[in-house]
Amino acid sequence: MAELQIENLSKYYGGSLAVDNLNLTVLSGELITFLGPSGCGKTTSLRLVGGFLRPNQGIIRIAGKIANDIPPYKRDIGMVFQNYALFPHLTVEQNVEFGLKMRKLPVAERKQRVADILKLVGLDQLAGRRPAQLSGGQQQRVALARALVINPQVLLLDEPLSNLDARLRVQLREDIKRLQREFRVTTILVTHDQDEALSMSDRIVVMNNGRVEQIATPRELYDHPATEFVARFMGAPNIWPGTRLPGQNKIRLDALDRTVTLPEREETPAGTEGEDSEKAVLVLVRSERLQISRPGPVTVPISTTDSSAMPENPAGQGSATAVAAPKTDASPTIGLIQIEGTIESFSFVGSSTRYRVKPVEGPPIVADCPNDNDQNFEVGEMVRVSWAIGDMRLIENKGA
Amino acid sequence: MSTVEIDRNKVGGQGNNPDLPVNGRTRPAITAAGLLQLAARIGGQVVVGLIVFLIAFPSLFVIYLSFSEKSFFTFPITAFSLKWYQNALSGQFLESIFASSILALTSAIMACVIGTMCAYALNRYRFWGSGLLTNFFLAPLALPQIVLAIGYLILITRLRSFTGVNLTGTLPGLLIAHVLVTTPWVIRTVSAVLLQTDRAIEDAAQSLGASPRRTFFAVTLPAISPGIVGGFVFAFIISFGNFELSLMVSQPSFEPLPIRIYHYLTEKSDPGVAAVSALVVVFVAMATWIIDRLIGLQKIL
Repeated sequence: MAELQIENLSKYYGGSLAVDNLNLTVLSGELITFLGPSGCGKTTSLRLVGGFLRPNQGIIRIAGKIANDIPPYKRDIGMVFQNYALFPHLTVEQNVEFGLKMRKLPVAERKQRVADILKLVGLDQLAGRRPAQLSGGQQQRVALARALVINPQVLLLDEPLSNLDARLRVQLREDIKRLQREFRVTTILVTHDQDEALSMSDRIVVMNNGRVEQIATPRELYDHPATEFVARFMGAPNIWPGTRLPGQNKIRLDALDRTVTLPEREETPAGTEGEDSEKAVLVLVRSERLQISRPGPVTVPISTTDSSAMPENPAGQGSATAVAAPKTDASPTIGLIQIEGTIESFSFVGSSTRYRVKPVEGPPIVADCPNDNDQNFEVGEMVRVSWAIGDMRLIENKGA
Repeated sequence: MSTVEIDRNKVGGQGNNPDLPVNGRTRPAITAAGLLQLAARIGGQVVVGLIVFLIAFPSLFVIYLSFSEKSFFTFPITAFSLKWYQNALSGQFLESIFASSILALTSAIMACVIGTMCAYALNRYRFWGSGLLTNFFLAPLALPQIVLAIGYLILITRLRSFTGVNLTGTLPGLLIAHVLVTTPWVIRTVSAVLLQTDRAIEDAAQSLGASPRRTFFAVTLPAISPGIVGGFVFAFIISFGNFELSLMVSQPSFEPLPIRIYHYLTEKSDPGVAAVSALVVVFVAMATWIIDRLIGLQKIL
């Protein structure tokens, strides 16, 4: 309902920066997630927006008005906490009514609004209970109702699902999203759970050490992580150091000892094209993009030990570095990289199986294979891991 | 007591004796190890029983003696009588029970107000010296009361000679002394409850539009009320039973019960004192039971 602008926001404790120059505009009705490990500054940022902390620098605007000097109780925000923070001495109904009482609304309207929202969160039967008599999920729904009933300009959710068990978490995730849409309330969610962030957010702000690593939609973030940190935090296991060769669209995969010509793409996340010098990069392939097959006679096996002989075909855009794709592949026009190795371990996770494949040379490769066919591999088995060149992502290697 | 002791020796002796019919065909179920285990268990129970007995004995004995009808202590008592209770609930003793109750009530209320404020400040704000101050406030719990009493007496006599303000032998002087020793108990109980109270409820109240003052009275105070009530009961008991400080500053016209008992004992020794003491024991036991009902003693001790 209101736009939230954060400009050059910084907060430090003693000498250490908790939040370092945060810039962000949250659109009206948008759900933005602050995602990061503990201590990354996400909760501090949230508390700055809520007015519980004062920034050392920067401006917070709510609906265009500078909010820096407005105390929390006049800021018109709704907040939901990790530990629910319900008032233990009040009933569910009285908890939800609290904010309306503070706003001195007439009793009849208060009762009506409380009843309406309790119905909306499915707790109208429990209105007379005390928080101690409710389950964690129920308590958090009371907290959500209590925050929403005042129609706040901004809704702040501080790890609202962290204390709940896995199944309840997924359910409440949907409930929160539904209510957030229904109320069209500008929302900031803080979490360290990337699944939660991906499934709930319109946009995600990934934070690390007080700094913003990337601001993007869930899809963008997943497909094109801007930094190694983001890639790793989003759970990408296959990140290898590589070198971008000067003047060409070629990447040498140092770890796997391969050279790959990338297909022409409009945007290349790391570095500008046509640079003269070599540039260290990181190459990322998502584990579910990998395929595992038994080495067969259909394709010409390329031994990793003979990698210098890796052919480079400057003419063909797609099929540059590798052999023609096998017939079974869904996108045969895109070139493949194939590496042979042995299955080191695997873990069955229901819809898919995660394999760790140890190539003859280089670090292990992790592949998630859907369990939609009967193709299972055993530990020690020789297999061929392959992926489309188009599925590789480049990230600037800051460490190098 | 002695019979129990003998029992233990008997069982223990059996357990330690390997020559008993352990291998005998008639009683194959009893083994040396089993007997030893049994002996250890009974021995343990006897020790626990002894400890409980030793702790409770003086109080129980006083209560027992208070039912005597003689005007001096006899053991065992010859006949059951309630006449000393009649004596205790009349005249000087009643006056002192009344004085002590008023004193304890007033000082407990004051200790609750001061102690709650102190506990809140010490728990919610970190300021220079706050750690030191926490220890300082709790020192009266550890210091011998007589040390405090002497210190207090010197302080108020000096105060009189320097400023002319006289607290010695006055009611305000007595009250201040009692608040001094009872406040740490309130700080202790309220701090314990504050530590368990989620600070986020205060943030939640503020986000819902409650000013800091409103937040304190509408949310924090109800949440910590068990600690305040517990602290109140403790403060009341401590004040009611305080001897050392009262001795230094009390006056004959307003003599708290412990001082009255003391003075009474210096003159004579009869079951009247026992009856008064029995009343105090029952009263304190009831108060302790109330705290336990309200918040649970283990939480605050």
